Amino acid sequence: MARTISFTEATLEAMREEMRRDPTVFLMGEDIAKQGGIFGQFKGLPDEFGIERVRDTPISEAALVGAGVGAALAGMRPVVDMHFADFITCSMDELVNQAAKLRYMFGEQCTVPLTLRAPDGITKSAGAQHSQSLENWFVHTPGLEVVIPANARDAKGLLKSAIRSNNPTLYFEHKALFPRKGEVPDDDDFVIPFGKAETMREGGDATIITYGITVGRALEAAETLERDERIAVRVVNLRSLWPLDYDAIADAVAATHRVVVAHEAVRVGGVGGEIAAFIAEHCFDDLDAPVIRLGAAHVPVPFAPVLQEAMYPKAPAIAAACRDLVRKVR
Amino acid sequence: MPAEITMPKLGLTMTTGTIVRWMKSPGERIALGEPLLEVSTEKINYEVESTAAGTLAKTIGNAGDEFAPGAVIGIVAADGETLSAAAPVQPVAARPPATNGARTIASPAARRLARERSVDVRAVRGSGPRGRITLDDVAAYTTVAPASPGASPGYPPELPAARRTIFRRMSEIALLPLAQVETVVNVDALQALIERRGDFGWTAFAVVAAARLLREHPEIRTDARSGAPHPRCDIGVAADTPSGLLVPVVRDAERRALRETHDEIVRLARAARDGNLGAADFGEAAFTISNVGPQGVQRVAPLVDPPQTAILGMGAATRRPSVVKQPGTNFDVVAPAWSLTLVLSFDHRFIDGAPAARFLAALAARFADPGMLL
Repeated sequence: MARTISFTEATLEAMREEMRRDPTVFLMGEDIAKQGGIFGQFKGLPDEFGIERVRDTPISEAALVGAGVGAALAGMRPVVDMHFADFITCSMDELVNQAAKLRYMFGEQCTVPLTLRAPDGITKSAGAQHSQSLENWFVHTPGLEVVIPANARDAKGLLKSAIRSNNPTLYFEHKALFPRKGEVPDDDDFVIPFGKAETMREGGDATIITYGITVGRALEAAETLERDERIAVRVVNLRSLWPLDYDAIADAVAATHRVVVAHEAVRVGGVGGEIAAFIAEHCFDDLDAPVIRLGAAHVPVPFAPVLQEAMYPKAPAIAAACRDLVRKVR
Repeated sequence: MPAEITMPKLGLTMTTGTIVRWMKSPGERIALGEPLLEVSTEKINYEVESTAAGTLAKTIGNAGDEFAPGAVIGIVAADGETLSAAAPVQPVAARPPATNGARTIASPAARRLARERSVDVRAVRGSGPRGRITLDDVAAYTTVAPASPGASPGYPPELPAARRTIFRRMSEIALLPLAQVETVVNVDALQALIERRGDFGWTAFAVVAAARLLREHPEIRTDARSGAPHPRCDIGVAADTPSGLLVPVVRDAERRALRETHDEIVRLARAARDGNLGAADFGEAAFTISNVGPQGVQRVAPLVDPPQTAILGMGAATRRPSVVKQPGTNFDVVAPAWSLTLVLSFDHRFIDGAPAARFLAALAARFADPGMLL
């Protein structure tokens, strides 16, 4: 059985289920208990679990993440909310030099079961400091796990897996996804394993490899291409960027021979580059056309709505890239 | 400095040559211009003459080995030069040079499929950007079925070296989507004309008629490499020789008289039988004619010879029952008539049935009314 609920509700269910299941799970963040989170994603949690387990903190991301790392080392399973993913930059030492390294440096005598919830991505004119997608920095950092849900089902399944994981996990949730509704399984123990991509749509002409909010844009592109031009496109939702499902990528290249990699993060130096390079190294003989990367322009996200909307790949641009590959324009 | 003997390039389309036999052994003396070895290409068997005098110092490759044109296949040391002075030479695998020095642009997946199906990727027309050869181009080129396992990689062990080219070419051709149109034409008038004149034959008539018609039917001379019509209307004529099929070319047949064409065909056929064809006799043809009439057979459906995309098969003119108007009346009667079966085989990727039929009908009209050609 499945129900249709919003992405926000899916994360709330995940939090409630995991907090009921495990008393060491608790939440910290700015304005989460009193306000309920900017997107209502913590609403009602203090009523059930109390303000000891749903804690408002001062505005210091370094202190917040540092406290999370300490609590995790001491045996708790903290979930730390970053308010905006952009603010992770204020806690880079705690995250990159401490959380990511400790399990390795202490020979597994300790683990850091920390979940960092990081609302990211472009919404309506949130400005350059509140609109970024920074996942590639953390994919590049050994010791961290990075997951990005594309819909309500992913949101619930990945968040529960993140909380249960013994490694520090970055859970990036796109701000524009919170109100979106989707089907979620009824099962209280529904989790999505890390490192397993999901094929959202089959198609033999090309593959769009993507994640997060861009999955929806890719599906829209694929549906348009199928309906109007009879171009059949496979859409692969990576869900987890580290560990990364390289097998699913190789399978898609072998099946369709043409690939578009799309994300909202800046194209230059983005995760798409890692995927394209992997394909060039390991799937060379399967390629019938160059791999096309789509991502945001290499500029700070503009405040001006017109400029903002022009700077990242949406469905028409993704469809155009697929069409170019299939029609042999590129 | 020891002289290098290289695989000669015999004609524009030659991609590899096969060593048939060495006529000299290492250590033997050889004079300038003396035959050194025999090589075979897809069109010709050819004696390679030494380009230097001295001692054959080294041979590279044995009978049956294939080399690209320009590859070093032997070393001749001049008097006084020692063998060790000979430049170290590595055997060069039969890797033909890319056309015009440019790399063939093909996608990795297309190259892999071409390898799997033993197709020379350069023979495939690319449909992608910059003419990139893509997966479906190779798939279309090799069409329905991949080559049968026995046909592609290895030659049967007892196959004569001279037959390898035919073996390989036919294996490739078998994968093309060939279609045919056929007609039977009343050639009473042409039969009488050939008997009366005695200075040309059926093949010469077909060559001249086809060459002139090809000018008006450019799609029939489509070149599979470019997809565009071949600029010339030269005609290949299939010749039976002791070592197998050879196809020398009649040049400028569209501008030649019947008798002149006939004389050229006779010369080429004799040279082919005697093994005396020169490289110049193997220009690129736009079209080929295969005439089995001399063997008395009524019909042949030949295989297209890529990069050509069409070929005519002619049988023997024989007396057959034919429906004709009774002279002086309007009545149809069955009467004996000199009849000739013409088959046009064509590569359906490039040529549709209707234009093929139009070409064949126009050709049949020339055969029925030879005065149009005189």
